[in-house]
Amino acid sequence: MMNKMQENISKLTSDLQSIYEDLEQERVRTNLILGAISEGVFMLDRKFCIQEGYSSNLKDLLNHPDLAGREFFSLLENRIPEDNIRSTQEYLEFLFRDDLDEETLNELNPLSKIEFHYEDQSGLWLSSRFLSFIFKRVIQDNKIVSIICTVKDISSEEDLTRKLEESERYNKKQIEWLVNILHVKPILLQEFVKVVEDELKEIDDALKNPIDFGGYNSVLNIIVRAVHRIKRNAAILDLNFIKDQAVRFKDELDQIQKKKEVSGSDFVPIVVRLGDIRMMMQEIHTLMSRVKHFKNSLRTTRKYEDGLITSTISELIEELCIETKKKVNFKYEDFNSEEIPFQHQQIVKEFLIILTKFTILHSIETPEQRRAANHNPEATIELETFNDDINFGFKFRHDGRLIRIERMLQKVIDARDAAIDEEDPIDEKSQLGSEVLQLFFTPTSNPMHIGDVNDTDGILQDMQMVKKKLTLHGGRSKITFTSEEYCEYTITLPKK
Amino acid sequence: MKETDLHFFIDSTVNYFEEITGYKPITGIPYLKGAEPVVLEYTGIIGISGKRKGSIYITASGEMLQTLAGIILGTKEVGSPEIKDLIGEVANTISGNVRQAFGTDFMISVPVVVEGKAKDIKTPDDIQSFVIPLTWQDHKSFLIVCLE
Repeated sequence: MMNKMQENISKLTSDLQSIYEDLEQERVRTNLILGAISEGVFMLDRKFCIQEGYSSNLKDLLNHPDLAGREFFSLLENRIPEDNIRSTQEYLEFLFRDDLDEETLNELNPLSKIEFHYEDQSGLWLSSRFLSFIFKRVIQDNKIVSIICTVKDISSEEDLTRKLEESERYNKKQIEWLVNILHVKPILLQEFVKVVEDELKEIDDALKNPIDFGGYNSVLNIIVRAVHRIKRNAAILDLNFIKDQAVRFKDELDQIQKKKEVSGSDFVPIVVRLGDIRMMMQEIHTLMSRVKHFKNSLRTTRKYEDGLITSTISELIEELCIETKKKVNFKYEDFNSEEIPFQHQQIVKEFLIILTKFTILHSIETPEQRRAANHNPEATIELETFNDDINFGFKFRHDGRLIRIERMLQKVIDARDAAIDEEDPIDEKSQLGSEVLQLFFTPTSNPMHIGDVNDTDGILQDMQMVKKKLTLHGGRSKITFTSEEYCEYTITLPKK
Repeated sequence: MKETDLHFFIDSTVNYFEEITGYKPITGIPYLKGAEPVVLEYTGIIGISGKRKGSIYITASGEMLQTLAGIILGTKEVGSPEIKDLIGEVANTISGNVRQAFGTDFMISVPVVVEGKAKDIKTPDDIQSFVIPLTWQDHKSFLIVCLE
C-alpha cells in the first residue's frame, strides 16, 4: 500500500516535472518570440491592467521600464489627448461586452492611429511617434477573458502620407506661383524679393519700436506705405499672387485706420498677415532656387516685359485720375524699356511711379481748372527713353499747371546751391545736379500746402528713398522747362 | 496661425493678470519673432501638441514676479522657488484657459521654468512665433506664441 502510494507520488512528481519542463520550455520560447518581434504585444485583463508576458519592444514603444500590472490608461496620460483617453476607455469597455459585435467595434478604435508623445524627466515633450494599436478579444469557454493588443510604430508611413498630403495641398498653389514667377527675369525677381524684404524689415522695425517711430498711428502709416510699395512692385512684375495678398493686407489696414483710437491688439491682424507674407516670400525663395537651373531657357519675350512697365504706369494714371477726377493722356510711344539696363530696371520703375503720382496729385489741374486757363482739359504725361555709349536715360514730361511752383522752387535751390558753391566747390550738387527734386522731397521743405491729398507724406518719403537709390546707382536727375507748357524730368543712369 | 487664436492668447493673459491682481496689463504691438532673443529673468514654457503643435512661453523680470507674488501671497518675502513656481503657473493657467476653448484634443505639457537670461528659447523653426509685449504695473514682460 505504502509502495503503491510512493509509486504514485513519484509518477506524479515526474509528470509534474515533465509538465514544468515543458512549461519552462514554452516560457523560454514565448519570451524568445516576444523578445524577437518588432511589435508591441500585450494582454489586458478586465481591470484594463497589462498582464505579465508582453513583448520587449512594448517598453520602448510606451517608454516605460516595467509594464506588468500597470493600468493601461495611466500609461496614456499626457501622451495622447484627453479626449482619446476617454474614448479608448469606452471602446475597451465595449470590447469586454459579449453582446456587441467585435468587428463593428473595431471601427471605433480611437487608437488605430495616434500620435504618442515622449517626454523627458522635466515633463517636456522631446519627440513623438505615430502608433497603431489593434485590439482583439481572447475568448475561453465562450467568455471574453482578456484582450490582446498589438502596437506598431507607423511613424514612417504617417510621415510619408503627411508629406504627400502637404505636397498635394501646395502643388496647385506652387504651380500657379511658378507660372507667375517664370515670366519674370531672374534679376528683376531677385530685386523684387530684396525690395519686399526691405519693406518687411521696415515694418518689423516699426512694430518692435513703436515709440521710436512716432507712436501707433505713425507705425500704421509706415506699414500702409510699405504695403503699397509691395503692391505696386508686384503689379509691375505682374506677380498677381503677391499683389492680391498685399491688397488684402491693405484692406485690413484701412479698417484699422478707420478706428478713432488704435491699441496694441488692433495690430494682431496686421502681424498675422505679415507672417503670411513672410511665409510666401520663403516659398518664393525655395521656388527661385528650384527653377534657377532651367530659368534661362524659359525666358519671356522682351515685348512682354516692355509692356509691363508702361501698363503699370497706365493703370496707375487711370487709378489716380478716378481718385482725383482729373484727365490725363498718357503717351509712351518713345519709351523703349529694352534700352533699360538690367541693373537699373527697378530704379526706373520706382522713379516713374513716384513722378506719376506726384504729377497727378500736385501738378495736374482738374479739367475745369484747365479749361478756365484756356488749356486742353486733358493733361498730358509723356515718357521717353534715350541712350548713348555711356548712359541710359529717360524723360518724364507733363503739362501740369503747377509748373510755376516748380520754377519758384528751382530759384530757391539755385540760390542755395550758389551759396554752397562759394563755401565748398565740391558738394553733392555735382552728383544730383541743381534740381527741384532736391528741395521738393526733403523733409524741411515739404510742399504740403500744395494739396490735401493724404498720400503726399508717403510720396515724399518714397521719393527720398528713390533718390538715395539713384545716387547709389550713380545716377543724376534734373528738371527743365521745355516750353511754357511743359515740365520735363530727366533721369540719367550710367550703363556700367 | 489665425488672428482669433492670437487674440485668444492675448485675452487669456490679460484676463489672468486682471483677475488675479486687479490690474489690467497693457498690450503692446505684437510682432514676429526673428533671430533676436526675447528672454527676461524668468521664463515659463508650455509645450503644445495634439491637433495643433507648438509652444508658448511667458518671460518676465524678477522684479515683476516679486510684485505679482506679493499681491497673490500677500507677503513681501518671496524667494526664488516661489517665483519659479509662479511663472510656471502663469504659463500653465494661460494655456489651460486656451485649451478649454480649443478643446481637449489640444494637449499641453507640464510647465518648464527657465531661471536666468538664457541665450534664447528655441521654438520650432517651421512655425512662426509671435511676440506680444505686455506692460503690467510698469513692468515689461513678453508672451511668445508659437502655434501651427
